[in-house]
Amino acid sequence: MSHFLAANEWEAIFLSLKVGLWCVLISLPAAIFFAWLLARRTFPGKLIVEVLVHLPLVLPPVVTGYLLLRVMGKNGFIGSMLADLGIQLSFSWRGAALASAVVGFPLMVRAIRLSIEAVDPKLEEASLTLGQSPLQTFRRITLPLCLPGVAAGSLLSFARSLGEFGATIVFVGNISGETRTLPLSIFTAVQIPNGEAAAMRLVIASVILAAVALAGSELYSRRLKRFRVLG
Amino acid sequence: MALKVDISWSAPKQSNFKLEASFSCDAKVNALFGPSGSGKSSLLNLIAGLLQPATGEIVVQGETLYHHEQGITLPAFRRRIGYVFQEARLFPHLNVAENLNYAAPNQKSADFSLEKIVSMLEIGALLKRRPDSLSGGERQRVALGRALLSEPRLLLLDEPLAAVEHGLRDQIISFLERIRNELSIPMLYVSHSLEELLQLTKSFIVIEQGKVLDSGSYYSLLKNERIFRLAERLGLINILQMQSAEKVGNCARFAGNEIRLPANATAADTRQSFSLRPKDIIIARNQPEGLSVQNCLPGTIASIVHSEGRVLLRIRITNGDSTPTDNNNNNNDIPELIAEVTPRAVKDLQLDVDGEIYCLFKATALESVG
Repeated sequence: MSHFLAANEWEAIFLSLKVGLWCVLISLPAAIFFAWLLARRTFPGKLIVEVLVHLPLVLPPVVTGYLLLRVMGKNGFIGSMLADLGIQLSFSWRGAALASAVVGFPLMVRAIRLSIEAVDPKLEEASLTLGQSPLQTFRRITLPLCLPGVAAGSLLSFARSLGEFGATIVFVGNISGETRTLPLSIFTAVQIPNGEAAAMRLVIASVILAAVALAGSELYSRRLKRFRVLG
Repeated sequence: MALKVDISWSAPKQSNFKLEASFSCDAKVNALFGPSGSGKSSLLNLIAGLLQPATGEIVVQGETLYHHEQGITLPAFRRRIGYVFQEARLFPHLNVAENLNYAAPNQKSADFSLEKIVSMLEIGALLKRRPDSLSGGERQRVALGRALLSEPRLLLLDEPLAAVEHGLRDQIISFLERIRNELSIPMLYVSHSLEELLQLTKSFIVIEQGKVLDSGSYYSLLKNERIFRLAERLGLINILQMQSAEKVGNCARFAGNEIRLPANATAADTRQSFSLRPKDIIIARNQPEGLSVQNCLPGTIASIVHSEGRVLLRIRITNGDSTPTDNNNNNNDIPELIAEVTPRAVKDLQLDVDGEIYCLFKATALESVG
């Protein structure tokens, strides 16, 4: 198998997997919170929150990457503060994970929100009358019942991260071994003469990885149906 | 006082529905009776803290749960009020044992140990089962157990028999009777079925169109014409609770009088409750002779209510025992019956309040209700 791909190609695959994993880890808590907020609460300005959460879905990824660079880059408002703490996001794989997290965020929130909406609020009421606080109720009732949605959303975000190109290349550049993920490797391979063979190998690897992640997401979505509220 | 409520509340989406409830109750089981849409469930949700009143106060077992002026609003999860919903609302991802242990307060009193509740409700065989594999009756028993195991100081029951198969309702009622008799926890029981409520209690709170009309003992509330008409609309019924276990043939005792039971009544039935429809009662001025009718109870007319071409009589049954009861002071305990007659009969028999009459009914008119 190692003969099929060159060392730098394996590197790109592992980098993609690492970025995808961190993308899911950093976006999950916020995605669960916003999914719950949008599913269960009514408040003034809900529409604005809804638009902001979904914006990365329709914004050109290049725009997202540019905005990230302006805000989170070395000279950006938040980026400069993080730089003082010794954390650099731009032109590092961490920034690539952040870019993927932002772009995949709407997909993740959407999947979790739908699964929270499928949990009958009457069960949460019953939990409150049994002396459990709203937080305990969320942990013991809502979260376990919407877990398939959380898993589906995570896999969706992971799969989206594997394909992330525009925001990544603008925000963290195309640095071999640091930010050159699978799509960026393919882009690079296509740019150089006689790179078609390498590009094709990476394309096949991409298709396989994406298909596996999507299939997993689909399987978890189906499990949602098993949790129907009983009278 | 187990429960004191004095609140008002407006439904957020139907601005014309306003709930105004002021009552207190202290019986072991308190019936909250009213037609569908009268605000019964909303009232329970307000007491449980799932809805917030606009004004007023709620006091349970001496503790103020809500007081508008004093700014007290205890959140639902701190109220220690058990709630059994129409649909059992068992948690689908937990098995029966996990549902029962869900609340699990730290220090359990002997009254509320898992073993005691499980044996009381006879759900020991279900502990490992999943809620979706239970029947309606089993689910409701588990829901009852789950609520009791949170050691509530008040138990709210919102039409708990609505989702239970008809044949199993009497069984659930007998479990509720057990809870009433063995645990010291007051219950507020919502239903629009008089038959169901009267098996558990005579202590009533009547609600109609968001207003609590009155509270007190069932038969005394029927003096209120509006309540009488409401009860009549929802199926006015007599429940005869038999007194003693001594069974002679197919007989039981009611208010010191001997009652003949239907031929198919079993030995256990002699201690049980029987329903009797008001129109199955025949009124006689004098004690009749030579009739096939088996049962004849003497009584006096307490009130006469005319309603849509028919007349309903509230009859105070004369105690057949030699020990006389004080009719004036012990109003709640005097067994009463409601009988339906025609306006013509009232005229012909010259029926009047305080008139002495006899209530006749066939043994077969009695139906065992658990």
